[in-house]
Amino acid sequence: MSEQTHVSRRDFLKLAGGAVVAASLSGLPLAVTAQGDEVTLVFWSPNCDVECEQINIPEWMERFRQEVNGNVNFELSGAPWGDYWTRLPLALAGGTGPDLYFFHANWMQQFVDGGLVEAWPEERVAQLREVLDGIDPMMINGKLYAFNEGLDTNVIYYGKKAWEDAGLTDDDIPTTWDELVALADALTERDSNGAPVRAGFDANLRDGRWTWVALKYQMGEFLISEDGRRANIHTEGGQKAAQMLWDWEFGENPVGNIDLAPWTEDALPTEIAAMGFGFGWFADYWRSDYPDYEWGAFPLPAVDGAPAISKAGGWTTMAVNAQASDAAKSAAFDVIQWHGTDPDLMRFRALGGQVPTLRSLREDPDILASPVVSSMLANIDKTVFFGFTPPDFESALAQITDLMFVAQTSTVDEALAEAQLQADEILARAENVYWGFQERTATGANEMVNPEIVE
Amino acid sequence: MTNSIQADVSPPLPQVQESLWFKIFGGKKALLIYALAPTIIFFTIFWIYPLGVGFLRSFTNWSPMSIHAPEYVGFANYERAFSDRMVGTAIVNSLRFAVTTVGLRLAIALPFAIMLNNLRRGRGCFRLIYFLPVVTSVIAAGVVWRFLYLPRNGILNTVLAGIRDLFGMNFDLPRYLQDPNLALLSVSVMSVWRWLGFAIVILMAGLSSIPTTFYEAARIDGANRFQVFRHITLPLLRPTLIFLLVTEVASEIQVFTEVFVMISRGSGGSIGGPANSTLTIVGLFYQTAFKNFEFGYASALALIIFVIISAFSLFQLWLGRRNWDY
Repeated sequence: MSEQTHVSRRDFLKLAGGAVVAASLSGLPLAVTAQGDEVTLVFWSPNCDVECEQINIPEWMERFRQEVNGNVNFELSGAPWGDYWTRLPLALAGGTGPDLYFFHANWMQQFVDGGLVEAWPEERVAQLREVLDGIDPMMINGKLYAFNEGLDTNVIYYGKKAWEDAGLTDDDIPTTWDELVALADALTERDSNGAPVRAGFDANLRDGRWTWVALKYQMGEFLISEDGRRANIHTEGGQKAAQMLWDWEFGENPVGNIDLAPWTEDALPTEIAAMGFGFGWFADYWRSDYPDYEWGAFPLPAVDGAPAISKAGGWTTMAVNAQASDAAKSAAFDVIQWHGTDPDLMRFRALGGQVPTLRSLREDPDILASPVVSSMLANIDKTVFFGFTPPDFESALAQITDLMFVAQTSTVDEALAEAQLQADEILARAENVYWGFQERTATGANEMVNPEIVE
Repeated sequence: MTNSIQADVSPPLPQVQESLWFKIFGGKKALLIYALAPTIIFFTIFWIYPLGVGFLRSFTNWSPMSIHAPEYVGFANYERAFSDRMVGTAIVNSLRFAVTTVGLRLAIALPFAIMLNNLRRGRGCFRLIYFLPVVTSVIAAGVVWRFLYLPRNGILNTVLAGIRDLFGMNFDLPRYLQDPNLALLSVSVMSVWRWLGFAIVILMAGLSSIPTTFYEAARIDGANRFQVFRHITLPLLRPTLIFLLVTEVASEIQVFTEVFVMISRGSGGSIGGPANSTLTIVGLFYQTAFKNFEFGYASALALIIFVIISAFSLFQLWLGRRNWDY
């Protein structure tokens, strides 16, 4: 792209118009870029993404052109979710990838190691920090490669019908696990043998690693050692957390049964479970697949003195190809910065069951009207992000509840020991470590400990 | 008799050799090269070249998610594979699956094929019915079987529970896809059902090629049905059985889709649950290549799979060529 040597009358008018639009956008730290030569950004996004359904991508691209820079053109291309995560890295590594692409933090380690993603310029990171939450946990060796537009943590969902049939009201919402289990006991329907035929509480044990992680954080223990080379799974807190799950399922008075329904998100709307441990996306799933299901949500209960409540996840923004031209990179950062700080675009995160990271939306009445987002907001500052671990680390975590509840072949100790062994192998094998320190950026981190492993 | 048949069906080669085009294109040897060329080119591009590249890359830390060139790592990927207990588990599971599935399928297909072969009417209709699962989408079939196997509310256990209550029996209902002792067998049953029709059709073709005169002679000699089966059907069906064994064992060792559809989500999204009882070697390869993007290590695993399948196929072919006394 050649440098422009003079400013024409038309260019001057474009600049002035752009400046007026920029000034009218409150809280937007993005300065209008120079209206230089035209730039065409090739943009890839999975076409089954929730964003495609709720926010029309071509529509916001046109808004960007009108409000920020009319010289940026877009070439949009999509692929189904599964194909996308195979095609994208191959194309990026092969030099045929897009300038700008939809990104997910699960792939952060590989993308950073492979040189596929461009780091944000420091001055832009400072601008983002002014208006967004959750920037620091996303930093890797002092660099930001992508940030979260929405934050996600766990909540408890309940079916309003089951709740009302039992004569329960909002005053009965539990704040501790003991209270929740007592409530679940009342909501559980049992057969003549005492086995639940409707679970009072479905702890999501088919993918129960996240329930276990939430409880473990409540015990005040980090999941990974500070140097990132060892997992803290088979620990005292880990045992207590797993034992709680065990008691709910196999104790004297079980309130759940993993065999009742395959998935919690289906068990709740089909009234096989009265309450369930869930994620923000459940709300979106029910809106499309079970529109008649009337549900409520409340914040995750906690054990006494818990320094943290649960794991933090996020909906990552787009990212920039490290091999794109300088002009394309600059324009792509403009697009992401505008997108991630636009109140209208970010408001839709609540529809997807996520807390927007845009600070100005925390008090937004529309956001607070969502029961799932307001429940998340109650705990969001006490959540922990355990970092950009290798993808198979999460598979090792899955062993805990897989062995205890799906296979039903292991005791608490055996399941934790196996998961510990697998996780340690994975963390030890990694070339570069991008985790461990990230847990220590959590709000309650100073009250948490690096526990002893039970040998 | 054999010689006379060959003489009868021999192609009119002398006429071809005399033709002008035959001479222009270089004669008999050249014709052989032209005939084989498409196959040789196809195999070189789509089989030998990828195999060679895979072999070389198995000695590198190749990752497709990197702009950096792969680095030579010697035998590190093979050392990792031979010390990784998951690889051992996956190989054992794959072999168990192949032996169980192929064994069950042939044991069921053979009597069915014999019965169908003896039918005077409706043979085609039954053959079609048995063949239908072969042309059914494995994804759709897998999802249906997953629902059949649900521990509560699944059709199989609903029927079992009904029988249990009716006869006042007392036993726990099976957890087909959740119990590590049953999960692989449950997938195996689905695979037996799906490809049963294919085995029946091939065996029927083999049975129809056995001359009826042998059966007539055996009956005259007073042989009973079992003796006919043992001394005529089975020996003369041996090439067909060997063909099915080689192709089906090679195919079933590479099982992936059935397990992926029926099991994978049930263990927290990871492949191989419950308790790694359904972790197959191709499943491990998929996870390594397309979830972890460790193509160098995945190439080493692919080479190991290749060696295992080749060994099995060679052993089975050796069995087929051995002289057997009946």
